[in-house]
This record gives sequence, C-alpha cells and structure tokens, in this order.
Amino acid sequence: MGSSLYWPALGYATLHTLEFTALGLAGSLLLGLVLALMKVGKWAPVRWVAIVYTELLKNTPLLVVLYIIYFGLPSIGIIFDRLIAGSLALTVCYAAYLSEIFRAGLQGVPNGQREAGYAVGLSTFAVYWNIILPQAFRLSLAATGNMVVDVLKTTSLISVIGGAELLTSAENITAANFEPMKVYLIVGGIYFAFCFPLSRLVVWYETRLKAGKNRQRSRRRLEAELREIGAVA
Amino acid sequence: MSGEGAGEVTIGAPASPAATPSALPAIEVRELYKTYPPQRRGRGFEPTPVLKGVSLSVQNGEHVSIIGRSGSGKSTMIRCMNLLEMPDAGVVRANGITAFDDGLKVNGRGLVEFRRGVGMVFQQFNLFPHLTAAENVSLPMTKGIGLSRLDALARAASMLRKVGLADKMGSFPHELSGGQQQRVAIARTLAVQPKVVLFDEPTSALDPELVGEVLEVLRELAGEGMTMVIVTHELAFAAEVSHRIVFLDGGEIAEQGTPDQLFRNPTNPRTQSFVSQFGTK
Repeated sequence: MGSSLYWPALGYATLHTLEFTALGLAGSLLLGLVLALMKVGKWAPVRWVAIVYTELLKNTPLLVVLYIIYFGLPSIGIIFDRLIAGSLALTVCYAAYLSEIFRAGLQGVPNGQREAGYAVGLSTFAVYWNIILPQAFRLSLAATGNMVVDVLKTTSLISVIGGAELLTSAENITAANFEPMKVYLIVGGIYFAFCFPLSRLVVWYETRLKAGKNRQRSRRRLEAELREIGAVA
Repeated sequence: MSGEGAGEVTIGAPASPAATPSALPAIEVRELYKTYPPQRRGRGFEPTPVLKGVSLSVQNGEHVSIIGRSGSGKSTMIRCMNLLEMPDAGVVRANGITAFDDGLKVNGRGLVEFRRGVGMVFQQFNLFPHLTAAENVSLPMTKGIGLSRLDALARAASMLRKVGLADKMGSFPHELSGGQQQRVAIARTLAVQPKVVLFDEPTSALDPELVGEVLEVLRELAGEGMTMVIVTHELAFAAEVSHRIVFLDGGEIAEQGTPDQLFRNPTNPRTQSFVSQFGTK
C-alpha cells in the first residue's frame, strides 16, 4: 500500500477527531458551567450533588468511563453508537475538570460585584449573566484553553472502541502496511498541527485581553453611540 | 433617538416637601435583630450579636446619619435596610413594600422591586470593572427596567455630567481615581431613580484629598430633597447635611436627635465619650 493511499483515510479520520472534540467540548463546557453554578449556589443539597459528581468523575480514568459507557451500559439495555459513547465519555469527564475551573472563576469575582448588582435592582439571572459570568470568564480563560487542547488530544483514547478517529485510522493503516513509525509520526503531526495553533490562539486571546484591546473596542463603540445620541460633541 | 432629551434628567427624586411626622415613612426598620454565627465550630467561638433590636423610621426627604464606633453594627444595620443582609428578626419596609417581616421575606421579584426603590452606595464603590463608566450607569436601566441601550446611555450621560464626569464616560473603573469611581457609583445608584439612597461609609475608602468631591455630590443630592441614610465617620459632614443623627453603640441605638442636640448636648455618657473623641464642634 503506497503512502498516497492512506491520506484520504487520514483526512476522514481527522474529521472524526474534530467531531468528537466539538461534541465533547460543547457538552463539557455546558455541563461544567451548570455544575460550577450548582457549587456556588446557596442550596446545600444541590451543592453536594455537584461536588459528589465532580469527585467521582475527576478520580476515575476516562478510559474506564469510556468502557463503562460503551461496553458496560449495553448490559442494562442502554446502547450508544461509537460517536455518542465517545463524546459522552469526554463530556462527563471534562465537565468535572471544567466545573472546578469555572467554580474558581466564579468565586474569584468579589462579592461586592454581586451586591452592587442586587442593590441596583437586578435579578439574580441578570446579575450572573451581565456581571459575574463575564468576569469569571476572563478569570478562567487560560485554564479553560488548556482543557480545550486537552480534549482534542484525548479523543485518541476513543480508538479503544474503534472510534474511527485519527488513532484508530492509524492502527488500521499500520496493520495493513507495517509502517508504524511513519504512520504514527504522521498522525502525531496532525494532532500537533491542530493543537499547537489552538494553544497559541488561547495565549493570543489572553494577551489581547490583558492589553485591553477589547476595552479599547468597547470604548470606541461607546463613544460612537454617545455621539449618535448627541450626548457628547 | 433625540439627543436633546439627555440634559433633562434630574438626579434622583425631585425635591420633596418638608417631612411631616404623620406621613408614611419612606423607609423603616423595626426591632431588627441580627447575630452572626461563630466563625468556626468549637470552644472559644461564640455567635456575635450585632443588632439588638434597632428601629429607625426615615421620612420622605429626610437625611439621617448613623454614626458609631467600628463594630457597633452601623454597616450591618444599613445593609439590612435593603436586605443585602437578612436580619434574624424584625421588619424592613420601604416605599410601601414590606420586604421582611420576622423571617418572612418577599419572593425574588418582590425583592428586586423593593431594592429598586432603595439604592445603595458602597464603601468600596463596587463598580463593574469590565464596563465603561457610562455602561456602569446604564446597566441597571437596560437590564433592570428594560430601557434600550441608547436611551439608557443618554440618561447615563446626563447623570455623569451631573456628578462632574462628562469627560470620563468612556473610562474604565481602573482608569479613574477613587473619588471619580465613587461618583460613578452614585450616578449608577441613581440611574433607576430610587426613592431612598443608603450610603455605607461612602468616603471611608478614599484618599483624604478626594473626600471633598464626593461629599459635594452628596450635598447636592441632599439639596434636591433625596431621602438619605448615611453611615459615616465624617461627623462634620453629618452635622451639616443631616436632619437627624443616630448614634449606634453595641448594636443598639444609644441616642438620636438633631445634630445640635447630639453633638453639643449629648445626654448619654457613651455618646459624650464618642463625640468628644472626635472633637467636633
């Protein structure tokens, strides 16, 4: 099998890898945020549910969770296909890690911010959405960015259930052409080609925030609006 | 979007007629009790009673200052008045809404409605650091009372002009001095036109040379007849703008009266020793 022949397979597998990444990320960011909000909330039972969940999933290997979902659950009649099982494993595990990052971010916003919001007659939702979350987002950005890259790399574990992503594809190819060194180097390179720009993107965005680029943009927007309504010359 | 309307907004409520004793109070607390739980469990950690049955009734347009040593319960008391702090027992009522009555408090929407009528200015300003000054002031209007962004900005701009910050509308809090930040915070509080404004040591976090500009804004607000409750260590200022001074000591109102009575002829020995320490008037 000539090397040109496995490129289409790798391209297809790359798409699967990105699919797992996107689904796993979407799920874990959402579930992680919900868990984090549960943990900073005032109802103790809700807090405990979130804490127990986090500790359980944080301290269980993802590979085992994946086995339970894909090989274990069918024995009690719950069957997922590989795409769902893989994405679900990423979601439930990374939600636990992300919830801790988000919790720290939420708690990093000084309490006076909440109080100021309530004192001007904003609802709890409005306080969180407009005041707490934007600030918590900035505080969690760096750590969250690392997790995003981590999810992409961890999709390779899904090869154990034959997820048809990059590593699975590489295994299939080496089984046919006996060139593991070459194939795994290529696959490693593909992972790197996605992860490295992603890492840099996070760093770039962080630097941008620190430099106040976004602030300058909102200031310019505000000044234009003030001119529009004639509030400034 | 008319540009001209921006200049017409007055800060806070219009000047109200002199308070008559029979009128319904603007804000009232009765028999407030509050005890903080022990910091930790175990021996040597006792619950701390902070408020031991304080009552205060403030008429429309009245200016009341609460003074006292640190730890006397002043801040807790004023924080109970808009229910940022929940009392253990007592009654909190303002603008015809009973928001708290012996452990029963209004539901979420009622609480939001109640707080909209009772503004609060904090010692640490608590401006929103991710927003410009103008956005800080307009946020309560856009997200609280549903004004459009541009309408809210027009009102915010006129508020900021009123507190002397016409040139700082696009500044972020970290670019402003403490005095400027506190003036933005005052404008933000007035944005939703509360009937009563609570001031929790509004000048205590400021460098001495910045205190004056904030007091100037408070004076102006007082001149417009706003109902104000002020916790402060600025006794001279309290004497100047207040109709009534309340001296809080050990979680109880030790004495209250006009500034003249309280500062010149205090009857309670505890008031005497407190006032003489400051050597005011």
